[in-house]
Amino acid sequence: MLFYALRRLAFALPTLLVISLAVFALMALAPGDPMAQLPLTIPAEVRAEMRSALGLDAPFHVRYGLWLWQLVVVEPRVALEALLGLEGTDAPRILSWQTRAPVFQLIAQRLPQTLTVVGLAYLLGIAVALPLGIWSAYRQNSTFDRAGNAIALLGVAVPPFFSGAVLIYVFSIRLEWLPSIYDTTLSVTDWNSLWEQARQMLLPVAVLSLQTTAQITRYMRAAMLDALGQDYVRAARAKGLSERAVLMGQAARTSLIPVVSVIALGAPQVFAGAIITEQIFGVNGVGQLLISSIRASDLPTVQTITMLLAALIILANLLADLAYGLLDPRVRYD
Amino acid sequence: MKTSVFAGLVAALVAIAPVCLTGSPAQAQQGRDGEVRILYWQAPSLLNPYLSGGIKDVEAASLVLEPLARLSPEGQMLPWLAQDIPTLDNHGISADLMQITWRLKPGLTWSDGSAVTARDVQFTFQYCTAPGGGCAQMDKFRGLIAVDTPDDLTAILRFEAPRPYPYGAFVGPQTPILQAAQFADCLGPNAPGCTAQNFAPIGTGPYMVADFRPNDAVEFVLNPAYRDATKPAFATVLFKGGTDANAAGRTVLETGEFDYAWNLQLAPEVLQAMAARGKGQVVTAFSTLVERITFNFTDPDPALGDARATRGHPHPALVDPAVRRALAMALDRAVMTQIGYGPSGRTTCNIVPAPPIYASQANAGCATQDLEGARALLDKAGWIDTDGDGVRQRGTVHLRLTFQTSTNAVRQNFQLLAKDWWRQIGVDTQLRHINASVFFGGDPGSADTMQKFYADIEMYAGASDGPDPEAYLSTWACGRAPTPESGWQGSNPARWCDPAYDALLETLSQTAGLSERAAIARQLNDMVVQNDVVVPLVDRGRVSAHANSLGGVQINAWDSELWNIADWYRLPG
Repeated sequence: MLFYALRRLAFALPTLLVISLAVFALMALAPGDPMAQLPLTIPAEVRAEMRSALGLDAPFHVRYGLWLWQLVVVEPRVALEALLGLEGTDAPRILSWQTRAPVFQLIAQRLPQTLTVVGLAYLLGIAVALPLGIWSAYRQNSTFDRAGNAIALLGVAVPPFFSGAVLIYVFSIRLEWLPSIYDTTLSVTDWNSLWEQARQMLLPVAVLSLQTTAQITRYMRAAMLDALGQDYVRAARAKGLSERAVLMGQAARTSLIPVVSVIALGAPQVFAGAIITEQIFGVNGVGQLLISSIRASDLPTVQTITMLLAALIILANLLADLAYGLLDPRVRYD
Repeated sequence: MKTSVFAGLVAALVAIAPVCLTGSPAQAQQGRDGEVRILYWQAPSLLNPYLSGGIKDVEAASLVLEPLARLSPEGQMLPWLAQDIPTLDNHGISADLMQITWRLKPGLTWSDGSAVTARDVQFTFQYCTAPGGGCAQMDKFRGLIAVDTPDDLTAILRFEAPRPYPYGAFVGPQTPILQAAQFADCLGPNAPGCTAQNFAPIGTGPYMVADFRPNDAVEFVLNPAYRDATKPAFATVLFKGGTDANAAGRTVLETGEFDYAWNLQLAPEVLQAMAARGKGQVVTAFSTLVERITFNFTDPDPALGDARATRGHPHPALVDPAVRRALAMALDRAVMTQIGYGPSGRTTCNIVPAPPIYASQANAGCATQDLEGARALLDKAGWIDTDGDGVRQRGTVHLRLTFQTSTNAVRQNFQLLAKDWWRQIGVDTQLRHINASVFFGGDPGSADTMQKFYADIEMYAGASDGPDPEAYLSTWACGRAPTPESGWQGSNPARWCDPAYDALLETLSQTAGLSERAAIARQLNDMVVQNDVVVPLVDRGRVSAHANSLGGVQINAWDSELWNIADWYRLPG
């Protein structure tokens, strides 16, 4: 299994290289200019000098090579030195064009709110979806099942920019119970600030977890329905096992296999943040960083985030494959 | 009008408040009003205006960094860190117009306690002009050869040629004074790498940066060393960025989560509905931002190949003044203003609509639509619909025009209105809209930039940078036309060229004295407008909103909107 994992990782490297080249080429070829957001009163000559100060006038392969070197050599070194408390290197780090700050510093600053809001919503969504899916399948066509199906459909069909707006209208504007804007500078130090934090997380987490719940419930229910019709479930019942043991020990365990891969493959998206929801509530996590960088043609930031995401997705795929082995004794990796 | 009188009254009250309240020190303490919450839906990326010319960055930095002089909401210079505004009369400007002498207020300190000296002014000049730094405000320092510092409080700016209007550098929020000690190692190519400095500059303003989160939020705390011990009233500022104009307006006008929301470019009826909740009020300020239509004087026909849209090939229809005038006459600018901007726009017939002394009175009446007159004009010039297809022609040239602008709801509405009016006078219009970052991006490799102007008509907004319009008016000079030779850069996309205009610009560049300069500027404005090179449509105001409980706000379109944040306070109740 270790060898299998290592071999998969080795195969991932050329894949990542190709992805990085493709993303870089797409961004470089796409129309748009990082200076387009400046007021028109700033003349073209000044813009040209600003571009060259950012290294934008260098040819494509030089810019790509520099970025790759910074990503695989400079940034890990900086991280290592920071970990070991050594003297910092002088080599130029990947700088965002918009903020002139190291991209990894920006990502590190954005990760906490993305992980708390998007991550919590994901966990919450799964925690609700699994029992909902299992029970819906067990009580197929009951009122509970129909209600669950309706919620799942609603969650899939209603986009976050709509559900977010509705929640803001009801809870922020009409009732004035909850804030509509997330304050990233709030630090939790006592009960009061914890309460504030919970209040401001409620709406974005609700919007996001509705979506996760909807998707995973449908997978879980379908897989469970499949399993409940199998002979081994009938055999378990015939043996006289309790309904609980049949449901949890036999049917649910098997039907988790496809669901786990869905969950694992969705996990990297947590790091990417939730572009629309973050934008609506001003959560300003990684998703908002990505979309604002795309708008500002901030190539280094877009490129770096996309690469990290690609790496995470490949890693998540691998983890999902390895998880099969744990859940299903028939799967072997020799 | 009513609100501005009210604002003026409040401002007057605030001005005398410290005098009245000397007896009760508790009332006049710094930081007595707690926190003020400001929402900019475009978040600041860094707090150094020299590295980012973006308005959001400049305005966020204006809480900390201050220039020698600011501009008032009326567009007048106010001495800020300087004792007074240097003029010819007070000998602050030398008689040969080659130098200007600024004198700092005595006793100024940075927020770290060290003294502000003329050396900091000198350093700021070096910082922006150092090669390889990519300074966004370099244009303001152009022609400046040295800053001399005979003593700690005197900075003499020397120019390479006589400069009749020498107030470019260090006036307004774009060019504040940096602390030499903090930025000493950030010259030239080192400038972008100075992240710590660019995120938390040390300044003289009422606030200091406590926490900067790029493209997200800034926490400011009051500067205890601020020169007025009774200000600012707010101890901390939460400066949040992100979301969109709609959400920003909502947080002030509907939910009351924030005290101030910036730049609410929303449909007038949306803003009205929000304001009806009664939690806050909408404020507007005007400067020189004019939405305009520009005609192409060169032929954008793709068949011309490389010679497309160059001066060797005049436009077959639009070089005829009658066509341009007829197209302008067919527009109902009042309707456009009302639909697109409501109270935040004013119909204008000038490209230089303010300050009042610069605004020409010669073009009033342009705002009235005259379809009949437009038709008559075209008839007289020989543009007649001979083949009955509804489109006028003269010889082989048909009045079929392409009208382009950036993708934007208001602009696209304007396009539809114009298309319909022009149809009524026998002109067929094809509409195009282009993503703003491409349209304004200036990429010479793209065929869709406003500079290249591969269309017949285009619409965008432009403004003068500061109250003196010389630089702005020179954008219509012959030499400013984007051409293949200039890499398709240049501010005169019409590629209009009038030697008389250039000659008058030359005169302006040698004339000193406000009223003399204003007279020439009005004349230049009239040449551009009366030749229908540009059709001014709407004088666009800056629209923001503040909570009813926030006092002291004086919205300013000439300087930073937050220019007087030291005077803001919480109203009781």
